[in-house]
Amino acid sequence: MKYRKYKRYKDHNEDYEFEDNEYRNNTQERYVKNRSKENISDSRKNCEMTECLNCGWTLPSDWKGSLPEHCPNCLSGIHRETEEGYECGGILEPVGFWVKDDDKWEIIQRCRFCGEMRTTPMNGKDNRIKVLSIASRPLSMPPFPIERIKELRGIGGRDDETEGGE
Amino acid sequence: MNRENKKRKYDRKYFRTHPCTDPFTCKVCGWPVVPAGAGTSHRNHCPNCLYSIHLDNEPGDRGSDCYGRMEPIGVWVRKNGEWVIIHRCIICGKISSNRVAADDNPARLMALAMRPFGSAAIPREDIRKITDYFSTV
Ligand SMILES: [Zn+2]
Ligand SMILES: [Zn+2]
Ligand SMILES: [Zn+2]
Ligand SMILES: [Zn+2]
Repeated sequence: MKYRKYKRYKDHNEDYEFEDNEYRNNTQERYVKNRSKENISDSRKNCEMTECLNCGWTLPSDWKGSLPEHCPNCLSGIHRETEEGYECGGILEPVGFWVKDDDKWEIIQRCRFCGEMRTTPMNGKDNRIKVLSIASRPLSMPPFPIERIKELRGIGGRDDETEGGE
Repeated sequence: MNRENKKRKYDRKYFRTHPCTDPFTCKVCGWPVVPAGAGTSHRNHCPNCLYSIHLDNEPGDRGSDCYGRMEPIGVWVRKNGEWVIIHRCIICGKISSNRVAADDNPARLMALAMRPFGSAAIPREDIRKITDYFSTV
């Protein structure tokens, strides 16, 4: 199976982490196998999945409704096609959440292979523990010492009035 | 210097390899953005409101004529612990990411990271159930 030359996507930092070649070849192989099995021709079906290449989840036989766009267990997906129309085949990894103004959530996913980002709507079937663990990751690794910053005491705390506001 | 300016104007890939160090005024909140203090030479967002402007299709190529505001929608922590702000263009929906700079407003950054916890999508009930679950394991 031949692939077109990939266009790599980088952000402003040159020190981007990309997965190694072995990983890439493996996922691509599995993806190609699956794809020929399913014989996806409809472009709408492009992001639907019946099994997860990341965690091994498979669609239960009593699944109701439309096929999921991302794995409800680990929230990953498959990056079948890039914005420019190239085939990718990398695993879309959940990196964060976008809380929209109407309180609907979108899962922000980033392709481990090409770095492209996309969003997919979250639904009630998604694994809540996984959601919480991703959402709390930034809080456990702050970019600065939280306790030293005065403005932050107002967020989620009650000690503002008792301290008498410097 | 003159030649350098010419290169900047006509070479579309100039900003991919050269950092942009021009001061600019934030179109969203009016904050004067200066390169000093950022700690990085590839800052593309305002340190006060964290908004960006959609100029690039790919980082540094200045290939987009959308010029939409790019709203900060979330943060992502890389494997090395570095924070990255995820921006989404409010006009065309393009998503891109940019590393946080040293002078970014810390309160705004934390508020962005806290957004999921202030929302109804994770009910308090759920959080309690999960913490209960982990305390029994
Ligand atoms: Zn999965
Ligand atoms: Zn990809
Ligand atoms: Zn601003
Ligand atoms: Zn745009």
